[in-house]
Amino acid sequence: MTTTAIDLKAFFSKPVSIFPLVVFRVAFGLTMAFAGIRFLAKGWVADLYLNSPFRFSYYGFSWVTLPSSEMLYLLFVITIFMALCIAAGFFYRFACITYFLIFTYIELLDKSLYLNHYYFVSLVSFLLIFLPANRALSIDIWKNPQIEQKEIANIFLFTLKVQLTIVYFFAGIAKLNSEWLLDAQPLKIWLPARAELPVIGMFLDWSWTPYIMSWSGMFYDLLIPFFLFWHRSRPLAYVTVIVFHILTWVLFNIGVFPWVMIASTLIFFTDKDWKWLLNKIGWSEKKTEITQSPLYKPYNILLASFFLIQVLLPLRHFFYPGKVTWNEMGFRYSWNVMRVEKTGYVEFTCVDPENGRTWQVYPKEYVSIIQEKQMAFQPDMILEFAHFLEKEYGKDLKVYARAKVSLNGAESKDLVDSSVDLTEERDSLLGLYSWVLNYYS
Amino acid sequence: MKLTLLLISFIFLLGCNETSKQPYNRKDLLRKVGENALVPSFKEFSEKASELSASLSNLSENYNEENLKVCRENWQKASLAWAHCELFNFEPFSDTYIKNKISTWPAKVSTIERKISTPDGEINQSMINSGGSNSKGLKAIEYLLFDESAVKNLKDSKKHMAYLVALGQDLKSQGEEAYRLWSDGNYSFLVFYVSKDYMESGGSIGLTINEMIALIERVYMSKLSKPLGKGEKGHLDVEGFEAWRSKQSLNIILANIEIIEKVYSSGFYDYLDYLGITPDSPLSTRLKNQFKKVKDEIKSIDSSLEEIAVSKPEKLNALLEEVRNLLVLIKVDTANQMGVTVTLNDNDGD
Repeated sequence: MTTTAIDLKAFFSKPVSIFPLVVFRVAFGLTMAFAGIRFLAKGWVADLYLNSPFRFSYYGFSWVTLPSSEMLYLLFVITIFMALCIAAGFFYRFACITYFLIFTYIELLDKSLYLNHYYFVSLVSFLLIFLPANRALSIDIWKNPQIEQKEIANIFLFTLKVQLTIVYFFAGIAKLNSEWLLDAQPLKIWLPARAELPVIGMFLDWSWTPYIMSWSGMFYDLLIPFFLFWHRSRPLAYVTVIVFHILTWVLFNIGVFPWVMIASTLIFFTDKDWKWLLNKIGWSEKKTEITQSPLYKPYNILLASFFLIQVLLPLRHFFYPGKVTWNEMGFRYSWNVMRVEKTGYVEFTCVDPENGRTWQVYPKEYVSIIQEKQMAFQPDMILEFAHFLEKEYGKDLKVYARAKVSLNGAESKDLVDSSVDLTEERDSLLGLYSWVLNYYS
Repeated sequence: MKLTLLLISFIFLLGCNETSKQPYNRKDLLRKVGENALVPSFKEFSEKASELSASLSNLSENYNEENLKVCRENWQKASLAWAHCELFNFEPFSDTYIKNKISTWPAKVSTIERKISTPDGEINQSMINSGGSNSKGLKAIEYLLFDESAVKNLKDSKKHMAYLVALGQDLKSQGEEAYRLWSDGNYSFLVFYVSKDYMESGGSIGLTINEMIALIERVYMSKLSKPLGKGEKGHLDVEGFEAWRSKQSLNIILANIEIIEKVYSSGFYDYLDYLGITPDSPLSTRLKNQFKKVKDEIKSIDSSLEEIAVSKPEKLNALLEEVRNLLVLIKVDTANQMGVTVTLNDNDGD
């Protein structure tokens, strides 16, 4: 074994206080319960899932179908209950597995509703299954005190920190382009639109504000995880996290994402950071043995594969042709957070080769407003809808799409080659489409 | 620390230079739209509906071809006036369902005839008011004034004439109510409209853009494309045009386009210029050109939509294409540059 490997093993095995993980468990669980209640209260279960007969499926997941409305509501209620169980550490592992499966199932129901923070929640809830976050201050401990641990191996905390670092860092990488840094788009569109806000509103109308915020947003995303890692900069970095995310919450229609991140980044505070707080609340620093080794092989392999995929996914678009914000090839799962203001319009022309009959199809007659809006600028959804039309009419058809899209305020352009019969095209795991037009052509 | 202070000072220095640029007054923009386009449209409709109602009463007292002609002309004026109001059906006005009471198409002839032949009591305005939308309003009046057999019944049947007069009275009353709601006092819908100057979902600019999109989509899809046989049916359906009995469909479309243009010229052009997102190719200029192209195409048609669709349908392809281009400029380009959410019930984005 090399020295580096030994050092790494020692680093991962180092006993650290479980308290940050407990804080994370409680914060994440409560935030997710709140998010679920909010989703129900806003009537989005009906608006987003039940009121549209059409579903856009993820590649390989077309078998995921919508349950009955009663069952869907029940699933939402279960996720809320499971989130509370996670927070309380009550049947913790079962709650994590159930939450992960149901939440991910709901997300897989419709691709048009993809959001980065939903993806993040799925990833974190998956990781929580393997983390001993219920080994202190939990109902599970109250029921079974033998499993209590005051300390855990460092790798458990490190896992979540790496996950958060990936989110921030790749969100920063995604901002390293002229559109964000030199044109200050889409902030140049979004900020003046909020100029009516009290106090900060006057700044948002100033022409340089989008530039300042674009550059500071890029630096924030790229650097904040590292400042959170470094103990000397951590307090100030966390204050920055709070300020930054509250600002995004005030300025943009971004839902619970800011609160998820403010809660999640608490994981960076180490046992030393918590000590003074622990002392204040009377938490004794009794040492206990680490009862299970985290460094068993399957966990290592799982973790390594999990993060390898997460590092490769956001980088894949660099190997794809064209502009990712335009053609969306490699856009999802890449932490392209707040990068585009996109609007589009798409209509389809069907041709029956048997008799030459031609007719137009306007998607709004089949899909919800949100689905229509999302499909208009996402090629894989346009492709899926074209195949749906062929199936809908029950015979071989030629289906062509005409789509106009405006990206970050630019003049609208054709997104797809309207001479290509989309029923002859196939979706793929890589999501590469030759019939999507180049942004610069 | 010194560096931070220097940076802060620099930012404020830059900011001071910016103070010459006044923040855009969106309340002022909405007030202009309200005073130049919205309220005058409802005022005009109220007046035209009143004139129509008076002429219908006159016709009932003295039926002759000349009075019938006056009624038809007044119906056309009222319909074109309503084609302007059609754009402004957003909350809270949409909650009153006045739009449905004034113009639901197509009118259901069988229901109208049933109500006339076997009324639930006296045929009067209150009977009309309590009835369904597809048996009253402008399209029901159009049926009675322009349909050959219905006109014959008007002459011979008192019940038909009574129903027509009651329709006119109800239309007049709905027009007055709509105008009152928009314009009356400190609690009018206009005051509410102007007050919602934010850009978030539910703000008046977003509502206006969304209604413009809804109207131009209706023009493109329901009022043109589908009756022309471009849709799934695949054949010309003259009776699918909005006002096929009176042959006013094209004029109504023109009025729809004109009111959208009026909203832009009342302040939206200025706002787009202020935003200056595409200075090399200003969106306001592209929109002005596109409105002109659409209007030129409409004006180049020297007969009614219903006639040209039968005789020279290919002549309408260019109009359809230009309307689609206008739809794209509103739904895609305008919404994008203004940062408007193209839906009224959006999920959270990130």
